[in-house]
Amino acid sequence: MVVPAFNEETRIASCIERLREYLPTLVPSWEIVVADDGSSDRTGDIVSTIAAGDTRVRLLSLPHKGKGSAVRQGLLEARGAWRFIADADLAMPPDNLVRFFDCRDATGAAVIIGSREAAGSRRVDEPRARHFIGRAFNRLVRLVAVPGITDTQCGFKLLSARAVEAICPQMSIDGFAFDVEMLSLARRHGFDVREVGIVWHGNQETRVSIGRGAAALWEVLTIADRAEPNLPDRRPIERLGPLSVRSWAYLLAGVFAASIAYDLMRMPVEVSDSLEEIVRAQRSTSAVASFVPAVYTPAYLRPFRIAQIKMLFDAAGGHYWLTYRGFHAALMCCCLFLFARALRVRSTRDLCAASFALVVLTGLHTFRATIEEAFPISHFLEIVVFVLIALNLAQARPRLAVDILALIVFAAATLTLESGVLVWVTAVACWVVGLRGISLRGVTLMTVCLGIYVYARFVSLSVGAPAVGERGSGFLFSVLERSQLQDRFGDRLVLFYAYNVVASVMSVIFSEPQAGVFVAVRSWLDGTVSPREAIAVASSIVTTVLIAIAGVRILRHYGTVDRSDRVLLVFIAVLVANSVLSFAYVQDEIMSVAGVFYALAAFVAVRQLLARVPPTGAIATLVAAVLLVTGTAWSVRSLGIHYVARTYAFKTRNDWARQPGLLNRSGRWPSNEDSQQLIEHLRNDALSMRVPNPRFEPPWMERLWGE
Amino acid sequence: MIITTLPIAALAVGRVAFLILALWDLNPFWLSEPLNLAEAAALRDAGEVSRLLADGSDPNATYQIRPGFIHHDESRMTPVEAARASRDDEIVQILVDAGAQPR
Repeated sequence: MVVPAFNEETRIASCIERLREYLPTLVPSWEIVVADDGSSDRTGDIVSTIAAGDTRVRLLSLPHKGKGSAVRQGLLEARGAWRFIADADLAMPPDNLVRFFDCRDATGAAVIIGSREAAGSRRVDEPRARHFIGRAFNRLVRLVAVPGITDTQCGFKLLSARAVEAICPQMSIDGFAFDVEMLSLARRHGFDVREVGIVWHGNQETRVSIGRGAAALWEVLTIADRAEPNLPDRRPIERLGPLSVRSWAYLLAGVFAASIAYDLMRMPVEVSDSLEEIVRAQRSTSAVASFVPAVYTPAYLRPFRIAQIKMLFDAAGGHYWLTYRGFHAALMCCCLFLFARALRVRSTRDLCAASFALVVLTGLHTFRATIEEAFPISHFLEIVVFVLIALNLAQARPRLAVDILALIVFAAATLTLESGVLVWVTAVACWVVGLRGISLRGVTLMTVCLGIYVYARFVSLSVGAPAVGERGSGFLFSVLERSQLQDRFGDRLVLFYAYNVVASVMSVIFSEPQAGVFVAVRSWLDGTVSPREAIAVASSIVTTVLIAIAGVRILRHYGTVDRSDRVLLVFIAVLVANSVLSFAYVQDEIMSVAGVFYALAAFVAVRQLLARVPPTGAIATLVAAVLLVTGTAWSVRSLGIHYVARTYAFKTRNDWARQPGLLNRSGRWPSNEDSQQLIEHLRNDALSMRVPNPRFEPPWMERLWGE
Repeated sequence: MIITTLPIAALAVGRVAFLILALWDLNPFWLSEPLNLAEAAALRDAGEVSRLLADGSDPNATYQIRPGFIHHDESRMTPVEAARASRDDEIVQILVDAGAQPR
């Protein structure tokens, strides 16, 4: 019996006395080792006095380091074949000890821990606040460190000598969270860990300070960081015909990327959002000269965005369309490559799920928006790429280079757009669910950088956030102009923000509303639902249901599911964060990162579904039919990208054709001769491109893919 | 199991076909129908109007316009007349700037 003690002079004697009374009734031989953690009161003296009269009681005097150290030393010092840790307050009555031995005999487990949550447990007189804090702490522990154990912190545990000798020499946590480390190591060594319900009497005198709580929290995080490192996956990769299934997945992504890149290379550079940016880049002397003033722009802190436009302008050497659209196409290829890489396809089942995920990704309206938007760089697509890099890093083997790269990606993303914060969300969420390629060190540094960013943005630079009415936004069945928004929500902004957040979430999981407007519902009320709207909403609902089923299963079997499946939980975190970032106004492109994770979640959902369905029979037929129909719907949506790109190219080319006149009439035609020549150059590039007139497209295209 | 990927495989094959056809400018999503200046004006295709003007098309000539563009039947019009028929003043302005007679 190992009793850690620190300044326990008021109860150590009664503790030993109660144990001495009970232990003979339980086991033939026993000893009590009091591990005195450098007490400054009379604890040591009291135990010494008792030990002088009873050789079965021993005092282990230790320098004060913490409970973890005392327990560790006590366990190693003890001599029994089974070693029991008991808190000196004996919050668990000694007669509960028999439950541990019964469990040992019934299961053969080497580590049996008292639990205030397991079946048969009962809490007596526990302060409510302490109970709440304890449960919150345990939730965190279960999430990040030792999934499946409902109570790690109970101070009563039984370990075999073999377990003690394997675990204790590797323990390093001296503080409050040593239990978590002990159980984490027990799991890693393959010991069977069982919980046994106990009666537990709350101790009103015990206090946990905020400082100690924070230290314990940090200790848990460090334990988790060491507990489950990403290890190389040694499972074989299946072959399908001449190629491995992973090669097929890359090939599929490559075909999708190439066909979309082809469309992008047929689109002129954007006009309304790009022209002034390009002219400004021409006037700037360098990327640094573009970066610095952009730091002090009201409402936005996006200096790297401006610097990138300048860098590409300088690199273009006069081939502006080629450079900007080429960069857009390169981003698209990177996006699809990184997406396919993140899926880690190993089996035919994975390949089926991956192909489904690819059409979900490219068919989602949030992805389509990244094709259209370019200022002249598609920054939202850039953020998608940054986030996918972070996800791939989280899946990698943890090392310093990964952390450094993650930090660079985070900095670049955050200084490009506000959505860059999602890189941090992704890294943290991945770490929490066990994808720890970006280590605790990397995540912590990223968090510090985020703090600096927030301070710089809101305090130092007073950049703030976009205000309501800064631009129009969708609301229910129409797009409201700035003045209408101000009239309607002037003093009730929270309602508008809440609508935007909820609409953003729904937009990703149901494809409705889009850009804040319930277009399909409106059409349904009018009795004019188009095939496009019906296909979009129906395919999204089915896919979301599949994701929800998989999500529930993952939560219920959190400790045992494949870690890669937990990406589905990362999707939830990213979806919520992305929606919150979209509070000021709803735009499909802002939700493009959440859209990518929706596709990843669809991958997990389909993979799980295929794994659980029997190979033949009615259920197999039903599942195959559902996936076949849903996959067809998503394929149709994915094909719509080409239609959208073509339509957008037509609109953009017309914008260029009308541009000199429009600029002249609005008084924005630059007086600078270089700028005039640049605009003429861009215009000529745009006009020289062959873009089909929509007049010649078959009407079904408009019904299937049109706005 | 693999049967569930059929529509997606078909999509991929279709996309490969698009890319191959694109080598001969026959990608179905980017098939261009040649237009004359008045037809481009009639279809409010400012980009094509500007390109044709830059290529030397006469803004004052009369062109044949295919049925359905403006009228049910085939018609003959100047580009300015076609743009006016389509109520696109900006294209009228582009044509006038290029030397077309406003009337």
